[in-house]
Amino acid sequence: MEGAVKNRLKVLRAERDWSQADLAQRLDVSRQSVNAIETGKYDPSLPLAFRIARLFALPIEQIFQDCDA
Amino acid sequence: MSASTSSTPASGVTGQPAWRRYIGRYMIGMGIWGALFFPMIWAAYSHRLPGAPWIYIVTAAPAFGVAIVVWSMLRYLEEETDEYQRLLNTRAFVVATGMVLVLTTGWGLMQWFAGLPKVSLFNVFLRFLACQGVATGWVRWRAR
Repeated sequence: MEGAVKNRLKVLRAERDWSQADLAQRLDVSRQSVNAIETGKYDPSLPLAFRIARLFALPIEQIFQDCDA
Repeated sequence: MSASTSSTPASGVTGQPAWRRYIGRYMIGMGIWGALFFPMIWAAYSHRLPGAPWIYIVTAAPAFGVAIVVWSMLRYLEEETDEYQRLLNTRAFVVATGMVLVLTTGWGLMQWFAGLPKVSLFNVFLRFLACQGVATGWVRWRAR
């Protein structure tokens, strides 16, 4: 069950020295959810992807890349 | 939908408010089921059940607790804001339902046509709960 979208969540989180739990709290999701997105087990919905983009103050396509593109 | 900076830690499924509400409602449903089921069984075995039409109401009453449990699952799926947790728990509910349907159908056919012992239908709810436990463990293990 691998996602069809790559993401830079782990890198962006590391740049800010946030743990998965820190990021989970900022996004109001579980740490397990952050881990699943980072490892590509789960592709977030568009609303959650927008929340992530807003949190990192980046355009959504600088965080998520379509593997099929 | 804004980026939330809620002070409530969302460190895992048990920390989610929707999950806590689900467990609370689930326990209420189980409590109602037990409070109606065990006295009814006692009444049945001690020949104290009322006559018709009350016997139908008294003997079917524990199913009301089952309805509360099913309703609590529906409410949880509507209220859970963590979409990944919702996905995992939806999977667990579907797998548990599938296990009960497959096992019940298989056993029913073998009971009718292969001479297996008859199994009562009234405890299918307990079988579902057992399957839900197995399904939740399996889904969480796959997602680890």
